[in-house]
Amino acid sequence: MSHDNTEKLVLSLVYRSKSKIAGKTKFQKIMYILKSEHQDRMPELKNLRFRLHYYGPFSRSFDDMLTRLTLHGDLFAEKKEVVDFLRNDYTLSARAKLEARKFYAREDPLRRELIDRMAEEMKRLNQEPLQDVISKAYRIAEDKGL
Amino acid sequence: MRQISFSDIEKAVKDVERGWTLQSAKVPLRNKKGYLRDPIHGYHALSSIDFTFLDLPPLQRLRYISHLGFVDKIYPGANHTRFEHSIGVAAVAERIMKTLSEKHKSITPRLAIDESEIWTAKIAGYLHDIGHLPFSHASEAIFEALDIPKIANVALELGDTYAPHELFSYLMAKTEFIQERISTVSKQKRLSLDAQQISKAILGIPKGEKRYLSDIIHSSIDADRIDYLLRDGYYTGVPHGHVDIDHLARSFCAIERGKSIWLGIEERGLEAVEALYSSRDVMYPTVYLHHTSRIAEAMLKHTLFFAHRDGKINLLNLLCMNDAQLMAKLGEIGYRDIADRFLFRRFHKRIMLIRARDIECKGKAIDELLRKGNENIKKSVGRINEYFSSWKHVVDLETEIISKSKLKEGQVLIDIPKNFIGLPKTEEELDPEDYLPVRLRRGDSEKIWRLSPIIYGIETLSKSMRSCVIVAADSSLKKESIEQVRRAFKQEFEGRFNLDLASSTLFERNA
Repeated sequence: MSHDNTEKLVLSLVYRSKSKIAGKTKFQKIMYILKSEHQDRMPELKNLRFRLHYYGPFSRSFDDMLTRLTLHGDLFAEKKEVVDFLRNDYTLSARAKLEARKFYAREDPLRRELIDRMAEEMKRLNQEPLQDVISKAYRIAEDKGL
Repeated sequence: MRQISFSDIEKAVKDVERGWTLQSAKVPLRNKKGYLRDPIHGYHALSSIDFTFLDLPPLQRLRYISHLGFVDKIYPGANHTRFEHSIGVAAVAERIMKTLSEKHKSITPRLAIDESEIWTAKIAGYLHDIGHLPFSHASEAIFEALDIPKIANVALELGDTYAPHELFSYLMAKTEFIQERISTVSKQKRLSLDAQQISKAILGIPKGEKRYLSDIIHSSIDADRIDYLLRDGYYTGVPHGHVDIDHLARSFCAIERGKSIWLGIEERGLEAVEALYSSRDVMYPTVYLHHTSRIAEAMLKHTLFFAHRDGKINLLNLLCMNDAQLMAKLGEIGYRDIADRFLFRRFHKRIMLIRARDIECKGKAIDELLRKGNENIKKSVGRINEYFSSWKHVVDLETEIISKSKLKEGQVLIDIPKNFIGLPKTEEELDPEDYLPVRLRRGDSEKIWRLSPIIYGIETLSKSMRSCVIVAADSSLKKESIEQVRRAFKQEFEGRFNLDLASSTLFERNA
């Protein structure tokens, strides 16, 4: 499967963060926070269109992207039981890691620095409780008038 | 074959608008009141504002567009039109807004709902279907096949995907003709109507903090759904379409979250919501996706596709046509025989029906493997669904089968719905954004499927069990040709996807 630049960026961020992203909902909100802060310098993120729903900012195109990447074996969705709820934790396949490495290597130093910063933020947000990440994304969305 | 661009769509909407302007000089605000009898919502009053919108050409056009396409060929009573449905949606929207107004004005001043907001929801209800094409959803399929919604989605920078009629309704509601009517009413009746908010409500896009205004028209439990279930159940005579509208309308509430105000459902209304979901779930296989209706729609889709491919029709002209005009047009452009088939109910016959349980992998039905959580099968199935989401691939398959069976184009049709091999969903795959929140008695809110086993079951399993492929063939074909088509389909399907079709799919009781 060939990837567009937005997909390659997302794979690259997960790769550089060295994280297992804890659940689809958290993944959505992390991407929204990163997009709101960095889309001017990382225009690939503009392809992810978010709308504010009751449960926070949500992107149908990102949801479709996760489904496609999972179906084609680039992302592994590991089922994890959390209290009474089943959550999908996302990691990269070997092939996706290779793709992410190639994408990163082709970027200029300034973009690589930005990707690293975003990956660090992704890692930090991934470690926070889900409700805190949702609240943060919600606040940003309302302030921006989403 | 020329691809339709967004600028083509914009130009077509402008042409439609020009037609409205020619048909009606400036529509004066009729200082008229009246009453209307509706078999669903009873006897209700209409004001001059209602008449202003009901008199508009785009609304009047809906009198000649059947609400359920070709379903009247199966249920003869289903002759209702988009016009009375639009009146119904406006009536339900008004009812919900009045509930919210009564409930909240004394409790929270911030949630006080004024007359302008009630009219916003009502006018959005009137206009929500003005972009419908002849035979309603039946003729939309070709636009989806040509990726028109995706093109419009990108051009308009929308965050979601919409049906073609929703996009057309939105674009039409944004025309100067409609916006000027809204502004005239606003001035003359001293209301503060926001024309932009009304058009966005059609797509469920909120504007500002009062998000309930758009949810009332476009959400999982909206005025549209409530009216069509009631109306379709009544006119088809199918008793499943029952909705406890009285209790449901009183169960809506407004929920504050952050700075925004959302539409929600009170916990005490949960059973009424469950009944709505059940109704909808049963109406789909009985009425909306009845195999004869699907075959008729597939015939229309193919006809429009061939006509568009051969340059005989400008599909965007459908925006100003009604049912009769489309049939007449088909006759004019050399498709008289096809038009007669629709008029005299000579549809193709179903010769194969394939569900997930008819597809096997190494002797085991894949629906069972999917329910057991087999990840490899899930991925294979996902890729098949993705493959058939492209109309081009469906046409390829048909062409191959027709060629192997030595038949002519159009004599065999395959109707493959989106995600035809339905994947049972886990809870995490349920999208909370697709459901209204439930406000619990203790004050906080919860996702609806966590409170209702009925809704949970329907949303996780139902589509995976009900979805099916239909193969249909010209009713004049001989028995040998039909058997040849069945064998060719089985061979093609098995060869392409390395899965087996159960041998029972080669037999059809009445064919």
